[in-house]
Amino acid sequence: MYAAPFDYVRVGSWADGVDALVRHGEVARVIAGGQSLAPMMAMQLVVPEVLIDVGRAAPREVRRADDHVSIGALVTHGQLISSPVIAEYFPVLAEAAAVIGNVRVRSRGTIGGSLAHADPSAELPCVAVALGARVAVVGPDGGREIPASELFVSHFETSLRPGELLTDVLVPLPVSGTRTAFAEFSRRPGDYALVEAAATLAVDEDGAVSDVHLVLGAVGAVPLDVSSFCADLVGRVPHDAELRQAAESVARGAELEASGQVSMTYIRELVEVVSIRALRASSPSAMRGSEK
Amino acid sequence: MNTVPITLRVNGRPVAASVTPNRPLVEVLRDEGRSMDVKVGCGEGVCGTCTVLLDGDPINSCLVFAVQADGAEITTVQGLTDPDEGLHPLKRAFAEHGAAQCGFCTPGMVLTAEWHLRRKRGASRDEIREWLKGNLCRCTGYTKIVDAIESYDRQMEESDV
Amino acid sequence: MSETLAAPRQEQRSRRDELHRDFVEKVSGSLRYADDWSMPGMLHGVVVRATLPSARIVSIDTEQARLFPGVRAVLTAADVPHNVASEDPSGLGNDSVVMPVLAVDRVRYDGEPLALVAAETQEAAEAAAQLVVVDLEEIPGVFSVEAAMAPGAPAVHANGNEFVQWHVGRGDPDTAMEQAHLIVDETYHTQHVDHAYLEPESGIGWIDTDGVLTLRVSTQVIEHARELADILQLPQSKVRVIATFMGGGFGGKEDMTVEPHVALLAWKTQMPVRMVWSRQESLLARQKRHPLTMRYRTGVDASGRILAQDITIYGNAGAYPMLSARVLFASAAHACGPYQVEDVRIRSHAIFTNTVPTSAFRGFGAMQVVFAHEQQIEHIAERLGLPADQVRRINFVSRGVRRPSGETLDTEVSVEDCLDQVRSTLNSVPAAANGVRIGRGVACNMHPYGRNVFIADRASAWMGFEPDGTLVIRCGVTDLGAGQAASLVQIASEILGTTVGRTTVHIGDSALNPLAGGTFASRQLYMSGNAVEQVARELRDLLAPVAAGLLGTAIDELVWVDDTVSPRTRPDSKLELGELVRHAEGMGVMPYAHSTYHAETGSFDPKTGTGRTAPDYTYGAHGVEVEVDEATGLVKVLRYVACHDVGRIISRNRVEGQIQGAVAQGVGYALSEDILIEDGSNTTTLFANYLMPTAPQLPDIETIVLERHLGKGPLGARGIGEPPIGPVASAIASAIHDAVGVRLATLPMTPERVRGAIRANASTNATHTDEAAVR
Repeated sequence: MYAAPFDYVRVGSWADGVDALVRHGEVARVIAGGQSLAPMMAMQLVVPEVLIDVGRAAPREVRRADDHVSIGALVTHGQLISSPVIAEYFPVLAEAAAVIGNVRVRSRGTIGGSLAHADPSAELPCVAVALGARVAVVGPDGGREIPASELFVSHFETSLRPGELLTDVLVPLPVSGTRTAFAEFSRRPGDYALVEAAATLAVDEDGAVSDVHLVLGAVGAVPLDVSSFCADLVGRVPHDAELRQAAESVARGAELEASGQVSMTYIRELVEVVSIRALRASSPSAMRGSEK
Repeated sequence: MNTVPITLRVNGRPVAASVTPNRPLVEVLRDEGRSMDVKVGCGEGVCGTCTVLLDGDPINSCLVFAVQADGAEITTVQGLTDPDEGLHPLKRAFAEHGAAQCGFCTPGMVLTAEWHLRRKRGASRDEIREWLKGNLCRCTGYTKIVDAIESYDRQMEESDV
Repeated sequence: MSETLAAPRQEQRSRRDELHRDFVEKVSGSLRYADDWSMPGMLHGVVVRATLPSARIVSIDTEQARLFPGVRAVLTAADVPHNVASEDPSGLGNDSVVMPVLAVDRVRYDGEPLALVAAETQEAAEAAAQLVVVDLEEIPGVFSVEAAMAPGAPAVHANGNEFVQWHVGRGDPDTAMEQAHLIVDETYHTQHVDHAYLEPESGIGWIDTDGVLTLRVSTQVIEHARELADILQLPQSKVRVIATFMGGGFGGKEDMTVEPHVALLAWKTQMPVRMVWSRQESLLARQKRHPLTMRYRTGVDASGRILAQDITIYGNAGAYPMLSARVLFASAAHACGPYQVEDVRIRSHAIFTNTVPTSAFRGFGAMQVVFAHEQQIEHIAERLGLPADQVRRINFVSRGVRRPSGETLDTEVSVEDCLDQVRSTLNSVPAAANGVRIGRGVACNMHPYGRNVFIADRASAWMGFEPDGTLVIRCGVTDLGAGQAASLVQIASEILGTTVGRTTVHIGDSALNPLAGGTFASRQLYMSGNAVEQVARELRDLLAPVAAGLLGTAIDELVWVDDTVSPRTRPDSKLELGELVRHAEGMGVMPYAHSTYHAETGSFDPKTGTGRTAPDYTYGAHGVEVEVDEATGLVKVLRYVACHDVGRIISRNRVEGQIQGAVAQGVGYALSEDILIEDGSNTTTLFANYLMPTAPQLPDIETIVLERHLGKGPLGARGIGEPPIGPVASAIASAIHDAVGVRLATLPMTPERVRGAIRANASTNATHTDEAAVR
């Protein structure tokens, strides 16, 4: 089980990374933690001629800025779990990171790598879209920002242009009264989920929903924003019946992709279950009411 | 194929090697580093038998190319030693509780448990089980492994007092 | 005290289990497994495998591979002197069907070995293997038992797709069935599962300085040395197999794995060759557990007493026999479980298909049937409105009862004791909450230990003292992690009073140690244990007169303990064993002995379906508490209690470990493990997709180990390697039913299947309610 032979280039900065990427072109692949790429290379599903290691290109930092938190692309899943800044503003990122793979994968795997890899079953892309995150990229023509919702194009495909590298994940600070949650169903803890859901729910002073986002993962080519099916929640106090109604309409209405592993009937059932679990967990606890 | 010179410290011992970039770390640890206690069970990062600590954190040595680890400090289960006792007390606990049957998962189990134990004392049995989520064992059903880790944890807590 | 009760333990047995060397080496990481050995100038071997399940081999072009830098050999079927990996011996004279080492003309399953490559590096060997050009012409195949049995189905082998059919039974089940108050007719399905031991198949071979082809390999059976000699057309004395401590076996290293490949490559190149199968090729192509379809018709009277049983079992043998004849024989022989049936007919069939071969796996055909016979009990109880335990109890076998084959149980039966223990341990049911329902179930079994008596099994051991009084045991037993070697040390110590630290055991070497037979069929403690007990007694008998003379006491007054011997009445007059041994040698009494233990023998007549089968049984009962998430169908095991009567505990830690490990495998079998085969091709070839249980998915597995009734093993022990895997699936199925009212007849009971059953049940109930409303 050897990866096909390749040349290895380690870069010390993003700028060097962009240079290397431009120099080697399409035959090159970028590796950070490598927890998704390395097994694909070992099975020769991916056969790069050049591997550009950006693992030491930048410090692994989570920084609070004025209106957002900036998470360096090389921040590991393990760091998301232990970061006090993440715990304060986006506990949902830590929640989602905690169910990724196992402790070894979380030691190496990075948030930037996960987003750039664009595996539709991965947890962090789903959460990033729900949180309205943007990614900062650098490329031969300079830097730009891409909303997470526009980053994911299809299975393992992003809107990054040739030569571009994802350097930071910028997550806007939540408005007060916002709660977030992540739920998923997998047949075995740590395995790929059959269905994931990330929810953010903001309530006003009267306890009525002012904003709601629900994004599904693992059921489409990209994270699926199904917030529109929850629109009826806005302006209402999110009692359990309302939440259930929202989850039902998501399960009924969302355009889901068949996974091949299980039936579509079952997938829709799971979508409803996972949606209601995410919505409940993101609702103010006093209003959750009795669970089914 | 060009080779790349790398240097590792394995259990405190320097290991220099010239490697082709596609060689996984686990192979270099076993072949050049003589660390036969690092096992290969699946090559997918799923089973946990190739667990080593890289700069202190547990990793899949099958999913890291050796070139990526250049300069790193690696700890394998044989690097877990106790100056006072012949056998590290966590290893002793594993042996006394019959927590190893075939023994193939044991190095990874011991390393993973030790890493978590350094971060948390007095964990519940459920928490210990959660720690071991990524380390498969096909022989024991995990009960005696949890017994061993729990008993070591208690023993350490007592000696701290 | 009844004579069947276990004798009280000797004082020395009450001491804490001593730390055996195997434990210490394993926790230290210093134990060397097969893949950890290397040799100077070693080559690396790789298998080229078929990529279609059914095809004609048009050509295999090895030219390019041979020219690849570093390649030393590329072999195909034409290079194999005698291209027969195995001819299946059931012991009952059925036709054999040849499995080639490397396929000739025809590919019969996806992943079948076609060619071998040896090169100077693993990477070169893998690269060269990709350069072997294999031209396959796909031909129609049969990918399920149903397809294989259909009229006009393509034949996997020349003699048709039914490899073997067994019949076991007695009485007149048809007439008895007519008398039945109720007939329960249900069909059960089980799946392909993988052994998934963590150590992949691996070994190294070389021509040793004595000219003997020597393999150091991860195997349960060193006796394969003889088959290897036949393959290479060498004298059997010219092949030696050394077994390493295995990183798990579970039956998967009972058939040969890398051995013939390593042997061929080493012989052809005359260089050392190592071969390690990747996890993915192991999942793809190494043999699995037989999926069975089991139809049970059971006739009972109004009290639930079983009057008649008619059982038909079909097993998917895959593309080659391997051990299918024996496995399906076991399914038939043990299909009725621990229940008495006077009028019974059992037929089992092993069917060839173009799928991955199936063979030995812990439980060996006798574990799949537990799911069926226990669920039958549940169905009977439900339809009669009786507690299932009551139905069990009135039907349990007991000593002296005749089994379906007509043989009589000749040791005490403790299945009811086990059931009582489990019931009293599982207490009241916690309330359900949050869409999660709690349920519990029990299941019982009897599982044979030791090979069928018509095989005339035997095991040999040698034992001797060094002049310093340390003990040496030589026995060809292999150790798959259950402590087979350590148990022998323990047994010797019971007879000779030797201590663990002063005993060395040499195992698993076909050239230097007396052969003991493989480690399978829960036979190793029974067979090698008895051999070691026997030879230890012989050795003691040799030395006892010398000791008695030196100590001035009678032979039967001698006490052997802590590496000394002393008169019972004068414990202070100790003689060190070393001193005794030196005296004995001085007198010409040599302090060593060799002995062979012969298992009891008997015969079985396949024509009448009657005769003797297993030497003896281990009984057990399991109880489980599960929670079922009705919304997702996910089943979580909350509590598990397993009770077995092992007759006599040799090592408590290891007995408990066997039970716990078997239960964990059983939980995977029940709930999640499945090798999926689509159009003949195995699609579960990643470890990530093979869902064996992880630590958070399992509770503490509580064990209750009884020493109630002595068995036929050393010191009265009964085998425990396989028995505890049997009851798990049925206990869980019953617990799911208890929780949510649905009963699944197909394994594994995945979340999707459980959810599907709940959904179907809900719509049926809704229909019923509607109908009731209309009425």
